[in-house]
Amino acid sequence: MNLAVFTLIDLRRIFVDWAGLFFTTGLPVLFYLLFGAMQTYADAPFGEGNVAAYIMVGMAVYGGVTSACSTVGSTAVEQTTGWGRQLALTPLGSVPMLVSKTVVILVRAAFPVAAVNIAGIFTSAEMPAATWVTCAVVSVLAALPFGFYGMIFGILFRSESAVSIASTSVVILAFLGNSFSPLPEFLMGLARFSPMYGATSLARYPLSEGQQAVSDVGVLVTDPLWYAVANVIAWTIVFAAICALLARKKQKGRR
Amino acid sequence: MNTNVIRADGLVKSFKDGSGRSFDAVAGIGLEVGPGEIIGLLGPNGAGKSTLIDMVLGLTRPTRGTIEVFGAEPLRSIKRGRIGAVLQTGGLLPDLTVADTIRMIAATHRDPLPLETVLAQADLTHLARRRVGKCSGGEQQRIRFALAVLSNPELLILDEPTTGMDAGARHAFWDAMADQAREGRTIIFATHYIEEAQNFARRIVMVGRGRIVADGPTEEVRERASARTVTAVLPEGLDAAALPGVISVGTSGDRTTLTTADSDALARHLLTETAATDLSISTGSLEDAFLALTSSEPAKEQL
Repeated sequence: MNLAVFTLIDLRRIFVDWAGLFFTTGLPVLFYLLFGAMQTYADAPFGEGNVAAYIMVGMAVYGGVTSACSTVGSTAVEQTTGWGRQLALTPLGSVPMLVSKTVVILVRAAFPVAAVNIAGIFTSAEMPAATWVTCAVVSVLAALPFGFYGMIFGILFRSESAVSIASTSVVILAFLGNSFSPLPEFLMGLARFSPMYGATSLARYPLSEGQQAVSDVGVLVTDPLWYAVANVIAWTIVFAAICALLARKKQKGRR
Repeated sequence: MNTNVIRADGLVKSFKDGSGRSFDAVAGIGLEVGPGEIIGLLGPNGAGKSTLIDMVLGLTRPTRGTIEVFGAEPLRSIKRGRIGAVLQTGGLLPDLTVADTIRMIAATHRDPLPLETVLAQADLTHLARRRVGKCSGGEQQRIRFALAVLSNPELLILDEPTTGMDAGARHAFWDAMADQAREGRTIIFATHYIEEAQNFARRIVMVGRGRIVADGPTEEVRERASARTVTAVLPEGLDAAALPGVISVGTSGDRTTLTTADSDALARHLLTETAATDLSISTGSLEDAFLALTSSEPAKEQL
């Protein structure tokens, strides 16, 4: 048995799906360049770094979330459409399979995060190296719970297009979660309860120390860290619980 | 000592249908398969063939009864790569190339056959770099076959393997299977094409409504189960339908064709008790046997 080969071939599929690669990696990089690096306020200081870095982390999280969502969603679809049966006929146990899939999901979530961060290095984003690395790592980790979000669509609709819709819907969640352009302050009350707020705020925390950019001039919003942590934990539980319920229902209703 | 490849005893699998009532897809099957046997599994849709195969492969747990493959739980034999299977649906990732698909599954086995050998066996060498999604139905079926033989399994199970193949591809497929059989593998295949079972299987297991309705050497099942036809020129005024053991009557020209389960008795009666002449007896095909066995069950549910 060679789990590394198995995982590598699975990983290589990322380069076959050009549309997927564009949406999960190309788009966040483009968004960062357009709404971050090219803006006049890019060099304005923000926390330990500058505004470009703040926007960069938001875009990285958005890319990571989209990627985690589509990877896990597609995996769920594959499982239900027969590839799962094919694998069940091999000596591959469920633990090595889970390990392999976790690596695939991690790498695929890290891919857009890395791409956006590299774009940041070559443009105007600035922050201390240690902060930068911490932000990038947290971006990947915070994206993972959204795998469950994609899985809900995968189990429910059993089709790749449903998963595409799910990963596209991340854009809306990103706007709601203050990951993209700063929301007006009065909407922050709502934003704090939306799923992307937690992931984005957590990934930005090393840079921002809780400071949220809002569109109102002269208003400063600083959220405590526990807002972000509570948000991430709550939404992870919600998404995972829905998946567990759906999976159990499917199991019972099997032919 | 247990030298059986498969041993199933009192196997039952119940499912719940939409309204919550349970029905038995497999309703008590006992089966013993020895090494090197080539078995055709026949039965109409919904007879329980696929459910039976799923239980042999450890994909589904039986509700009741026991099943052993190579003297162990099916899953254990799967883990050892002793069973290879071609499944009826799905099972492939369209964005992988043919070679990568085989490499990926090969990576799960302890001691897989070399890629080139498997590609050649499944006649896929020229398609190695093509994406699975771009392959025809018959080609995809050959990929599934390649995946099934990767671990050099002793038992090969095929669920309707020639679905989606044209006549030429089907012919080539059975030639490849003949090679597999010569290597001493035990082969079980489910099929709709009775001709395939007749040509290739040495033993026929017929399934109807979750039970085995016939099991024996191909020739024997055909002989025993099939209604035979007795054709003769009958004298005027003889009521053919009233003759002993007659199932159905047909006429063409002056000849009358009688279907019966006991052709000997009918022929003896015709020749000794009536003035019938020009009598001939013929054995039905496996298809006749198939229809007779699987449709003759009383339709209780309709009452």
